Amino acid sequence: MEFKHMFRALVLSSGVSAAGCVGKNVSSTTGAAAAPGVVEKAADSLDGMDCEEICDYGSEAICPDSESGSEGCCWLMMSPHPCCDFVPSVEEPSEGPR
Amino acid sequence: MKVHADPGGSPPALDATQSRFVANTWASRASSERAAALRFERLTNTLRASQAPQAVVDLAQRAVVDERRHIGLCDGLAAHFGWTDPPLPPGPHAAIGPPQASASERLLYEMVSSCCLSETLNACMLRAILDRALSPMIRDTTRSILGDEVHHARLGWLYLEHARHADLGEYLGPLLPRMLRGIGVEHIGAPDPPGWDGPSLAAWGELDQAARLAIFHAAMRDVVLPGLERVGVPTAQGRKWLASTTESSQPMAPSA
Repeated sequence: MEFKHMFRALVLSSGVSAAGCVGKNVSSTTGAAAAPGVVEKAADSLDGMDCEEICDYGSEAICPDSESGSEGCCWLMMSPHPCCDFVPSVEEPSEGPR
Repeated sequence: MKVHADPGGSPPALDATQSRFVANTWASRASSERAAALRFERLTNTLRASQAPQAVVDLAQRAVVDERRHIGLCDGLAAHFGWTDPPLPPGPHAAIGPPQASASERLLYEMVSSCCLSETLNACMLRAILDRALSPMIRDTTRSILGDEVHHARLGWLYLEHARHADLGEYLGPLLPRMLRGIGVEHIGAPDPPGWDGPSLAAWGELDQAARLAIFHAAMRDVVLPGLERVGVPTAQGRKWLASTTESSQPMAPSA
């Protein structure tokens, strides 16, 4: 059993108070940055997919959900979209966490 | 006797005994939600008085409303599955923290314990229930509560980050074993009661002892400890305590 996807949903997204992913067909939202202090390696694509085009990596990682047929939060998906594992680039902050 | 068959789903029908297990789960959950509502009510006032960031106060205030809503959802499910006793009273909700610590340190201890640990674990438990439950009624309620618990966990992580920037929280590391023991290990490690039918109950969202233990360890390993380390809280003692417990079906060791 793994909850690595929950780390992003709970810890890295703690700096934003999003409307949430429950009971909604969420469309693309604003492109807010990830939590401050996080520096992650960017990748241009995943298996040839342009994940940054397919999904929204704002306050929540929101991708197409095969179960519901709409878009949804990655951490709520039974079968996460491949792009849920994609980590978008984030500009390095001037002051990181301790 | 077949008692419950969820019209919209395909979980197996429950007999009276299995139905009682489900009712007990949601009645207990309602009790925890009552405690959480009272705790967040107090924490909201304390956070406001301590001039915590407005985003933190707002999230805490929202949590009070969420938890009150959850009480109704959980009581409703308990009643649906045959709970007829009066609702269980709130669980423990008094302020926690080392007695010798300052007020700000005690506040941080409680925020980390209640939100970064307990609410994070709750979210992982609910996420696991969502993975296995077939009953639409259970799934809908679980999904609804999970959406809120995520924010309650974030409240803790946000406050911890704020506190670390104010040079608070270094002292949390040695207290981690105590904190980990305090988030309900007795319940997590409790053996399955006689008559427990794991596969049937799983379809109704019930977690057996082995599942609870596995979720606990995975949540600590994948979310809580990395989250603490991310902001520089030492976790060596917490990791040592976790390693001393087991993911097997044996109950967790209560000692440090």
